[in-house]
Amino acid sequence: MLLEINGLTKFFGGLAAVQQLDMYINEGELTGLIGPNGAGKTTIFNLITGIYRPTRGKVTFAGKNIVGKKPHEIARLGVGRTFQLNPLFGNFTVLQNVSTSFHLYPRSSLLDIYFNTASYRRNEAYISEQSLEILKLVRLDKVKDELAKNLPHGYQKMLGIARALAIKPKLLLLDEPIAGMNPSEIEFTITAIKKMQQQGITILLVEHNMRILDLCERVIVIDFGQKIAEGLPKDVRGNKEVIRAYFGGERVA
Amino acid sequence: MLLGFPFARLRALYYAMGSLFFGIGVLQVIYALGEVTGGYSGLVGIKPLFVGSKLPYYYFFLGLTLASIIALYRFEFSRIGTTLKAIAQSHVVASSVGINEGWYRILAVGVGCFFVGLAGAGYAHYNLVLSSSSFNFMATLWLVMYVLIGGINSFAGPIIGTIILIIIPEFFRDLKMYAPFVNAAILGIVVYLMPQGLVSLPQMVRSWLTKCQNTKKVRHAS
Repeated sequence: MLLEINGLTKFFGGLAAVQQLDMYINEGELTGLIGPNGAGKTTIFNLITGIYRPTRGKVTFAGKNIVGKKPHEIARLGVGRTFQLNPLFGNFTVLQNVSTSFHLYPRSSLLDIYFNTASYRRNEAYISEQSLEILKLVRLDKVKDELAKNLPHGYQKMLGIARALAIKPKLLLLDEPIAGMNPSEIEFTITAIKKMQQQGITILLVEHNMRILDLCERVIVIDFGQKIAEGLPKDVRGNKEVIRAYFGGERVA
Repeated sequence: MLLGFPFARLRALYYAMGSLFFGIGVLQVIYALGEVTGGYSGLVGIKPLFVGSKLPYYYFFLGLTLASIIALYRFEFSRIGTTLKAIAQSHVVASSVGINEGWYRILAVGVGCFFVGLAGAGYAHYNLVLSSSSFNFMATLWLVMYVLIGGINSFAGPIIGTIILIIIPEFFRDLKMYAPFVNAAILGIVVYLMPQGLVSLPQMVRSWLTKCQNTKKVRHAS
């Protein structure tokens, strides 16, 4: 088990955004997290990545308890993520957006920088090369010198994924990766996600689109911060609780 | 740099307030410890670097300034500089790729203080008297003005702002008593019309010119 969540609870004031949530993700699995708007999906992401501190509960990643760790520490353990809103460094070029993720490798000292030494230049060249490699993977290498904020929406979303990939994550959290994309971009993103999974990256994604949920090996349905169903995509779709959460009635669609 | 640790937790306005008030506090401490620091009269009897002519000082400071500018230029466009800019754009996204925001804030303060320290040490050996009154609250505000007028988001901005604010008053020495009003006016105009500072002036003129040309073309067409 790569990620295990036990009794996770988060209160905002008196409101429970997430309540007694138990879930797990196996290594190499592609898992979907769905639920109506405001069900607490993004809150769960923020709790896993340390942006929020849970009120109660345990989050274990690769055998380590990560509750109370800072976001950058959790990222360094191998949890990458994308954001639904404001996902990029808008004033950076596409290449800079990805190369920012390489800030840890290799450590150049201040003196290296002040004197522009050969080892510093070599490091920089290596980082650019690696970043370009990742951009090729998501087919953004042709626009590498554009400012990220000038890219079309679909490209921006792909760039968000590329930036998260650049930290070489074990677990990748994707927050609505294909929302607002056009059909050909969706096609491409789905292929990219499949490819990432084949490379051994475990993926948890939030999405409403059924096309992408059908790829998932397991779907977890959340409503009002609680898990109401879990299982194969086709089983979950027929679940009465799920239908009630989405449509409000007892009517079977 | 030690100060960076508690202050690294503060953001934006709170950081500004914290550091400004700390500056005032330091002044009071200097006054209180009169025996060590010389109190209000300051430290006297510092050895000069060059005896006689002032000319060597000029070249010394010119060299120091150029070396600092080159070092800082490399710093700003290095991996570390890029990382700092990434934090400025979105600290949430930055932390999601493993950037330790607090550490980089401390580093930025440390690098800044290093160069301020260089200047301060040079100044002491030039002035031969080191008095707290030359580093009062106004001095802090002047620094902020240099940066704001030149342009806060660019490398050349603070340099241009400093040059302009130091040189222009030299031409109008007779009108010195009006200087605060003029400075306030310049600051107001620049901040209101050019939020990116004076460095954005060429770009603004260019976009204004192309706009004029476009309207002309439209008129010709119709």
